[in-house]
Amino acid sequence: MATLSIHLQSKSDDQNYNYVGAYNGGGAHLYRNMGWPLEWETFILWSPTPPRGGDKVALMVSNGKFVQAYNGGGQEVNANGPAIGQWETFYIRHSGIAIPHNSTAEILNGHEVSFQTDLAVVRGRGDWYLTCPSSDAPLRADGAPPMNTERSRFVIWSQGNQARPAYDAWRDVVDSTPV
Amino acid sequence: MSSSLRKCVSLGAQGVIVPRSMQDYQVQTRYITETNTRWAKLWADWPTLEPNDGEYPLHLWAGLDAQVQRANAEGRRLILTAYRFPVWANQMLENGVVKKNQPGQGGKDPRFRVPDYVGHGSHWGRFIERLLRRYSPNSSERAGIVHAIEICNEPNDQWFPQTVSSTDLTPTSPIRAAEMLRTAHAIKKRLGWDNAFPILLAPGCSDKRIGITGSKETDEWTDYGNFTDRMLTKLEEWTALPAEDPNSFRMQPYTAWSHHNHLDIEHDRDLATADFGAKRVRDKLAARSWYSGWENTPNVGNPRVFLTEGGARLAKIQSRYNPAPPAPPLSGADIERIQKDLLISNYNKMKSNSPPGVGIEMLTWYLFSSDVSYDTGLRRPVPPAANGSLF
Repeated sequence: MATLSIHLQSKSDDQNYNYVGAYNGGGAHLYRNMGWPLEWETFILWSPTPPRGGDKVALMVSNGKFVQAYNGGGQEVNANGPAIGQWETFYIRHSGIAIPHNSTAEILNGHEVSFQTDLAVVRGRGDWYLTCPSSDAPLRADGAPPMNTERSRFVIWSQGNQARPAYDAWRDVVDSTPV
Repeated sequence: MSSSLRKCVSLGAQGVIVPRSMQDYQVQTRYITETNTRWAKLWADWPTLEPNDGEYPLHLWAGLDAQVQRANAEGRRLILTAYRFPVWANQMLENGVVKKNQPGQGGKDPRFRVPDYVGHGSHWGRFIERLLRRYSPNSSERAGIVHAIEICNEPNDQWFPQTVSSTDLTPTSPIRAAEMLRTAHAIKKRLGWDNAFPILLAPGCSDKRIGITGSKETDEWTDYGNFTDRMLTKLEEWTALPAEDPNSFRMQPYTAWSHHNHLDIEHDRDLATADFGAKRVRDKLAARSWYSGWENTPNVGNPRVFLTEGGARLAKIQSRYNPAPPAPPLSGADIERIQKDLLISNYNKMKSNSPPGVGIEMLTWYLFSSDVSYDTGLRRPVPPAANGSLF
């Protein structure tokens, strides 16, 4: 498993920047923030490298806890999982228009994805997707499949993914100092 | 061209406050390696690492240890900057409640209040000794190695109070910074490491300056030139004391001055050589006959300056370099291109063996923005729509 710092932007109301956050940095519910993603809106994605559609992943919040679908799903999610167990494991799936939902293609920056709980698959539930019920309600793990609703779709951003021209300039200057 | 200019990238303090987050060294090692940067700057946020008197959260220290160890394994040198002050140690707690609206506080976080006492046996000294014991190459207790510890950060800007009061503008912050350096020196000497790594860096002033930042100093900020003069004057006073006097001060070979240079970079295009902050600071050190320090002992007169934070803020580029109407304003791409040009220009000047670069040992740039309103990062904080590997 590798770790990657990411933001998740909800697709359920894309006229604003609706970044998903963990209230108080963890230990409570997840919500959507209507502004710039900061500490509470940053997740550490635990995944294989690179993540592909259908991979099992976990989402760590800023206080070190994990996003948890209590009882495996069907209710509000919390950010209080102490470690990665079955309640803290999700299948990450492609959910964009151009890529089939069951594709195992690599998930790239800016792709639309959905998160289905691990136990949803075990129990044969077709719903139990991570979902944003409304703009100010906590996130739940009982969403319909993403092909049926945008509420279960998120855009994944890797923070700092893009280099500025200064990055290349910095890379190109040579430091040959001894210490 | 001199070959003494080191490249350093700074990560944000968040990487220590929240291990494994975006500013964690381990998470971003790829970019540091890719840019061939041999030094990185991490933060030792005191309120995080000792939230209550004598309480040292194991997982947070382990998070910092892991970052240091990863850098060590990659052969990279580290600066560890001591940052902020816990409210239990800085006189900001009263009956368990954090005080508000203190002199000189303005809108500053209560954890930027500098403690009244930072001398021998102080809580602050204990924290610095803990860092030294944990990360000095000569320490038998070490959990990793850092090559420099910067004992404070922007004391002329972030700290409060800067002065005795809002009406009595007698400066206090340069005195506290001088006391800190004296305390750290004494600890290092007591441990027997005064002639060994890590280098002690101080004070890491913000380059706020009368005439650019404001027309005069207030109880909330101090011009870096004045701060430097006042701190040096206080240290000089202590050099006159007998060496055995606990209040005396003697330069140690593993000590160097640190400074920040945002304005130098942002104003680079039209700044006269003599006006570069890095040069002005170095000239002030050179004027003190007793000042020696890193790579300068015993031959005083050639002081070295480490620029431990710098960069061109995109918002400042926009306001400074926007063309006059009716020309269209700078686009985002224009601004980023100017940022690159400023970086190259300043790097070449700092690398030069002639002024303003002579004696400059290091240039530091943020890898990412650590503050929405202070975006200097080499990489964009949130990318616009674009595809590419997440890693």
